[in-house]
Amino acid sequence: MLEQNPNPHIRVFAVWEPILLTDYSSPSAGVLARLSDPRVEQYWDKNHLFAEQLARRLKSDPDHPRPRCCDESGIDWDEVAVYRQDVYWDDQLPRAVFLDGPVVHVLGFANTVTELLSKPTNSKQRLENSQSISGSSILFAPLKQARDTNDLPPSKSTNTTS
Amino acid sequence: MSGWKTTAASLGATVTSLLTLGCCLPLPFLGAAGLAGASVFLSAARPWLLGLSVIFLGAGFFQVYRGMKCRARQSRIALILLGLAAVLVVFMLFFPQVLAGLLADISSQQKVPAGQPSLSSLTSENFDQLRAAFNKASGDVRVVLLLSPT
Repeated sequence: MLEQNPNPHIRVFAVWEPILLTDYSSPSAGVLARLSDPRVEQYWDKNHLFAEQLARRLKSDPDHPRPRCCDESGIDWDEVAVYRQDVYWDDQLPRAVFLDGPVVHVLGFANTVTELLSKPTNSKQRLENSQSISGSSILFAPLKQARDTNDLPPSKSTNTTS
Repeated sequence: MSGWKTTAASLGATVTSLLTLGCCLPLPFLGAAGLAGASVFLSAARPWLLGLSVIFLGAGFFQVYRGMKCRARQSRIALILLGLAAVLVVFMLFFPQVLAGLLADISSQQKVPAGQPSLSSLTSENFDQLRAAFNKASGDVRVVLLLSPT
């Protein structure tokens, strides 16, 4: 997906977690090298903290996309979640626009990413405007607003990312 | 006479099973050997190479079996090599990523690929690090992958 889409406005967070018997240690250099793009950040989540956050969100949000796979003793894994540009993670993980697995079978998430990139959100536009107007208090206001409205569909405003 | 055949079969099984790692090792490792680009070929050829390893191994064991039947003296080195090849092939069949990872760790000092921040081990104390990175990338489309290392 990253090879086919050189857009710098994509950020990938690879969260490795121990699921299988052979996952006795953090991922080796060989495993990490499989995600070699500089837009990737890699994490070793031994205690499934991210999966817990995701499970909490899924529990509290019946309209959240549901993955068709994969759950190991209540822990989500081998899944991909895609988040819009304007959502903010505060107390709770924001709603994903795409959540499914196993990763190798849901490469269609790349289409979701492309769609989102072609429809930048209002908050991004407002963020850019606010940067040219004033200081940090106004700078972060659009993020808060985006957080408050993160369940709304993405805006179809002017394209600023492509 | 059968000693060298067993050794040859063991070496064949070892080499072919090691070649299957080409798909999973970081490129610098192969590049150093002048084989950059081979990983694509080796990745596609992996099932064939594993099949070939099993055939070589089978031929090796057949030689040993035939030697035992004829009460011929078995070469100790050939038997050791055959045993090691068998262990390697079994490992390659069932735990290829573990072996690739170990070899990659030996060949590479750097854990994450160039240009990426270092690997963070998340705990409940530093979990906010991930949240902060996620929020810092606000304005970008964010993709979170939940993966198992092996």
